[in-house]
Amino acid sequence: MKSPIRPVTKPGQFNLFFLEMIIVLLFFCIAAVVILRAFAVSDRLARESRRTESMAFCAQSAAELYSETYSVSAAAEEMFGISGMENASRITIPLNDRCVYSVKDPALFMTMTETKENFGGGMLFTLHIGFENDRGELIYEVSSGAYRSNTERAVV
Amino acid sequence: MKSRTERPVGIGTGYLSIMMIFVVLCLTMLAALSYSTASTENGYSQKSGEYTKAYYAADLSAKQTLAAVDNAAAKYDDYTDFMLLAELDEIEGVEYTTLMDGLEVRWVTPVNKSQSISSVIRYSGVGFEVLEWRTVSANDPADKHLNVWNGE
Amino acid sequence: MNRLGSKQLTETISSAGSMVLFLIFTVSCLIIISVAASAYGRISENYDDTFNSAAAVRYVTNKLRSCESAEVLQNGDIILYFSGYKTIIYERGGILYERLFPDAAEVTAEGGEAVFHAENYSAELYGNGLISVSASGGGGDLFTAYCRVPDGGHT
Repeated sequence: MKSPIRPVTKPGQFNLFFLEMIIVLLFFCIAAVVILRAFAVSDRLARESRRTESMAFCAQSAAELYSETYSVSAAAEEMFGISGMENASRITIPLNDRCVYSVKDPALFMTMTETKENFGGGMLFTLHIGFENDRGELIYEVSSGAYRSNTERAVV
Repeated sequence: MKSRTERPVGIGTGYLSIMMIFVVLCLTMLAALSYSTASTENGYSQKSGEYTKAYYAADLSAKQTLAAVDNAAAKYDDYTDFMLLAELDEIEGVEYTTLMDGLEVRWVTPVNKSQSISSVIRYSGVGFEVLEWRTVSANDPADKHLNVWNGE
Repeated sequence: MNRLGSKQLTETISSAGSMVLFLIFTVSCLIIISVAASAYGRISENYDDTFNSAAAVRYVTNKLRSCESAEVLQNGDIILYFSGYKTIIYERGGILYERLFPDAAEVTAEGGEAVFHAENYSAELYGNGLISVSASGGGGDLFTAYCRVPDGGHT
C-alpha cells in the first residue's frame, strides 16, 4: 500500500544539490588549477624582476666602487661590510634575493673576479661580476673596468 | 500548518553555480591583472639590467681605448710627435687635436642604439687629464645646446 | 509514525548538511578571493616600488652620467651642469622633483616638476667623485646605486 506521507519538496532535491555541488567543485578545481598557475607565474616573475633590479644596482655599485679602489676586497667591504679578504682577486659573496649579504639563507652568489693587464702607460683592471642562483646557474653578469695610468691625473 | 513544519530547509539549485561563476570570474580577473603587472615589471627590469650591462661593457671598451692611447703616449715626451700621432691614427675611433702645449684625444664608444660614451682627454705636462667621460645621445655626440628660455 | 519521524530526521540532517556545505563553500570562496587579492596587492606594490624608487635611482644615476659636472648639496639636492643649462634634482615629501634653469640663473629647489615618488631619498658625495643615490619604496626595500661624476663632484 502506498504511504500516505508525501515529501513536501520534490523527490531527489537533496540529491540534485549534492550533484550540483560535485559538478561545481569539479569545475572550480579545474579553474583553480589554471588560476593558481597564473598566480604562481606572476609571483615568480615579480620576484625575478625585483631580483634583477637588485642585481643590476648591486653590480653598478660594485663596478663604481672597484673603479674607485682598484680592489675587489675593498669594494666588497664597502658594499657589504665584509673584511679579512685583502688582496683577493676573486671573491664569492652569499646574498639573499634582495642582494643583501646573507650567510644563513643565501639565494644568490655574487662572484667578483678581477684581472689586470699591464699596458706601457698604466694598468687596466677588469672586473667581472657574476650572479649565480642556488642551483649554480649564471643569471646575470656585468664586466667593467678601471684604468690607472702611471702618470695619472684623474681617476677613470 | 503541517506543510510549514515538514518543509525541509535546503539550498535551492543554481545558487552554487552562480556563486562559483562569480568567484572564478573574480579570480580570473585578479590573475590576469597580476600576470600583466608582473610581466610589464619583468620587461622593465630586464631592460634596465641589460642597460647596466651594456653601459659597463661600453665603459670597459672606452677604458681599453684609453689604455691603448696612454700606452702610445707614454713612449713620447713630445705629445705632438708625428710618430705618436701616427700611432694614434692606428687606434680605431680615436680623433685628436694638437694643442700649443699638448694634445687632446677624443673617442666615442656606443652603449646601445641611442647612447654612447663620449671620452675626451688632454695630454699636457707629464700625463693626461680627463676632460669628459659621459653619456651622450648617439645621434648627437656633441649633445647640442638645449634651448632653455633664459628669462629675457 | 516511527517511519515518519525517521524521514523527517533524515530530511533535517540533509538540509543542515547541505547548508553547512554551502557555508563551507562560501567561506572557502571568500578566503580564496582575499588570498588572490592580497597576492595581486603584493605584486602591484612590487611594481610600484620598481616604477618609483628604483626608477628614481636609475633616473638620477643616468642624469649624473650624462652631465658635465655635478654639485651635491648638504641636504641631498643635486645640481647638474650641462652645456647651456643646469638642472636641480631634489626630494620633498617623498616626491622627487626636477627643475631646469638657464646657465646664468640662480638655482632654487622649488617649483620643480614631480618626476617620481621616492621615499627616504638621499644623495651623498662619496670619496673621489662617487655619489651614492638611494631611495626606498612603499614596501620598505632600499635601492642604492653608486655613480661616478665626470668632474669628481663637489659639495
